[in-house]
Amino acid sequence: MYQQCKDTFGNVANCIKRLSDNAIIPFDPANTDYQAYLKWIEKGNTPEAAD
Amino acid sequence: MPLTTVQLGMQGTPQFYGFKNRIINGGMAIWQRGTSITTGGAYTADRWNEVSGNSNQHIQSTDAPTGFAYSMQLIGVGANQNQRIESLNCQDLSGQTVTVSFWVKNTSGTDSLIAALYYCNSADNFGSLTQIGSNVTISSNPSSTWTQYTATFSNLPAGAKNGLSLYIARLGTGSVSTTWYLTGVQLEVGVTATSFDTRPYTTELQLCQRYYQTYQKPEGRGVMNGVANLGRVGLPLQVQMRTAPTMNIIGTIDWFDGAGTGTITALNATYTTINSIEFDAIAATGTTAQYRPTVLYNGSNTGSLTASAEL
Repeated sequence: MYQQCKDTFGNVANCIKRLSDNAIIPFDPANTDYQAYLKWIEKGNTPEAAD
Repeated sequence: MPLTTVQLGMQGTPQFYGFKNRIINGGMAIWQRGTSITTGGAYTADRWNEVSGNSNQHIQSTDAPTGFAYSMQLIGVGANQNQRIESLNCQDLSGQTVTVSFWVKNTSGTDSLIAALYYCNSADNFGSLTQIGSNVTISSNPSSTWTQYTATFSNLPAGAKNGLSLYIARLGTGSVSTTWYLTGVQLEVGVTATSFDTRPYTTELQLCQRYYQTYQKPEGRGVMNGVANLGRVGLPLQVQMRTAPTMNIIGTIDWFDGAGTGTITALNATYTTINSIEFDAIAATGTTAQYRPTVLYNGSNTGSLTASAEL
């Protein structure tokens, strides 16, 4: 499960929170955590909206 | 000694000199995630991960053969270790023969000791692997004293340059717990195992930090955003990382804005590159109503920032 991130101005940031451990994953194609997130999206999942 | 004599000593011995070992942290000296880790599918010592799916223990031990300070003690069912070698460090390996060597001491259980080598089907894609040959049974009953074991893999396929994955495991009935120690892991070009490529500790740490870094009491500098939150805090990475890293906080970190102090325990958003990390965070404790500069200071809390760019 993942959740969108907001920056300090309330805008959606270019990263995603992994809810299992609260790690923040950057949108970098070579980052393997981001690759796992994209596979999760491909399965039809949607991240939770930012708080 | 005439120079010609030195040259003759190196002939026929590929990579006789430094950095012959493609394995990082083969001596089990670097454990940035902690020195006792129970897992069935995560990183243990730096660059090493367990892939059994069982909840096995991995402990840094000072029980080691002569010439080594540390080993990894593995306790559990089918306990294994795997290291992924980045494609950038495998470009010359296609068509080569490589030899894997390592030291093992078994203290409980009789499962076989095996080694296996895989290559990525595309560069650094460790989710799609092809095995090179088949599992090599190193020993059906590893010795109870420190013993060096070897396995040779001949004529690596063209795909070897895409990255390699070395797998060392105990395999048996699948239900028997074993206790064993592992260190001195080396993968080198050639048909024979040569002496372990001992590198300076700082060099070995920096090689690990390309993939994972931890900062206890990080020296971040930034600003508060006027509503009690850390608007942006940044700090340089200690070593350039493989990719922009995934970040996290383990524990509690202290901040100070010149007037008050507080803590953070989680990140809101990050802005990372291969050279630096920045983040926003909600203060877990402490308040400020000002747009003040802030520092992550050396307080009583011992939390850490982590940055991961693992393969």
